[in-house]
Amino acid sequence: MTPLEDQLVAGMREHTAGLTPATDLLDRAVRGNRRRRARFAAATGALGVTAVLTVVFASTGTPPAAPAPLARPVLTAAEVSQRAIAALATDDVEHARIVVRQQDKQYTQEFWYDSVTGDMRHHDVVPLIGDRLTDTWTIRRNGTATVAYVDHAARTWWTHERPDDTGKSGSHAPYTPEELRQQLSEGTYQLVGEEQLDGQPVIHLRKSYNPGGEDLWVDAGTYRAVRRQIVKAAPIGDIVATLDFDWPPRTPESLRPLVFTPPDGYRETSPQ
Amino acid sequence: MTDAYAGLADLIRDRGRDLLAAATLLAGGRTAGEDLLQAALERTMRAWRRIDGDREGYLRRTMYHLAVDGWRLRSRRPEVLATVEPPAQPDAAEGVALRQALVQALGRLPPKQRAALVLRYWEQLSESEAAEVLGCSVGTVKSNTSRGLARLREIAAAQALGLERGARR
Repeated sequence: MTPLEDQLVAGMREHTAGLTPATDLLDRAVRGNRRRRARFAAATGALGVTAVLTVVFASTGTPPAAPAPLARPVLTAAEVSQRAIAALATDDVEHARIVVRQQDKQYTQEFWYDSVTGDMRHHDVVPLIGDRLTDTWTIRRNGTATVAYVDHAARTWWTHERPDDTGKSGSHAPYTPEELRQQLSEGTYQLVGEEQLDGQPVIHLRKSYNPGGEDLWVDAGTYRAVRRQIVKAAPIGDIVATLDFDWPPRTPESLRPLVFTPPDGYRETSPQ
Repeated sequence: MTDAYAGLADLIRDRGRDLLAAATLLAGGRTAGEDLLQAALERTMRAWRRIDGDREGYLRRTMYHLAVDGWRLRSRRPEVLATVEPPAQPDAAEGVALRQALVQALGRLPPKQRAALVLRYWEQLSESEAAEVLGCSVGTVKSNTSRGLARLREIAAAQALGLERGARR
């Protein structure tokens, strides 16, 4: 280490010497978590006051120290955006079903993204008419991005390596949490209001650009993205992409779709 | 504590000091550090039963991600920096002023540079380990570390100049 690095480490040590977490740190975290759950319960309307207190009592074994605030405050678009950004900070796996429509044409993809490694996969469920059913993985390790491509029609596969330039241009891959965070950070979403989406309480945000626009629905309790719809105007008709999200925790099972294995009986070819 | 968070109290008892130290360096002060650690704990509680394996790692990653995101948000508004508390054990040695200046400067770095320096020099992680915690590439960790150190070097140079001037007075 250089003398400067030595001084920095020594300074960090001095600055943090003798620090001990407050004895009530964990209790405060429990109360904070309890308040969030109570807010969520009140917001969904699924539980009344009594039920919320019962849930809190049952889960902690003690009555709450103070009545939990039960009414969710009215939030601005900026506040909802900030909470949605914070909700993207976990390392859960993103899984989205993407349906893209233009006039009578449509294709469907599944998308997985691991925000810890940056690995992603696009899997065709229903390709465009005339297109082949394909699978594409992008695996990022140590500054290298390995793209693996499977053509299910030709029963072939290939891989290709390139330097990983993630984030270098300041833009992020479409539909990733980083890209959504970037959109939310621009502060251009407007609040449409609270709605139900397939029975789930959500907050609806909207932004318009010229031409096109975007709608985003986030869970009313966790502020996690539930659905996103992007409309791009085109001469022969709007292109509408609808993404339905779920966010499974990072487990070997949820990460399995991101592991590339050449399918049995497929032939390796050179990259195309 | 409820059974729902079994093991969390032990984790805080055993690793709380290290976690708070990292949070304090990330947030710029003891109070802000406790707030950061508490926020990370709340997030971790939500997923506690679903976390498969390294729960401390999950908590630590959440803390770093929250810190970086929080700073990103604050950077869009007038930034209010936490005051850096004096060292717990005052030291009259010559380098104390420089070290304090370096830690204070650390608190003013952009969030990603700050997080990279804390991971590399406080947590003593390799570049690839730091990249894994931050969810970015090794190259990003390298550039953030390099830029952060360059800024600290400027502070150190200015500090040395100031000390020299002080000695001449």
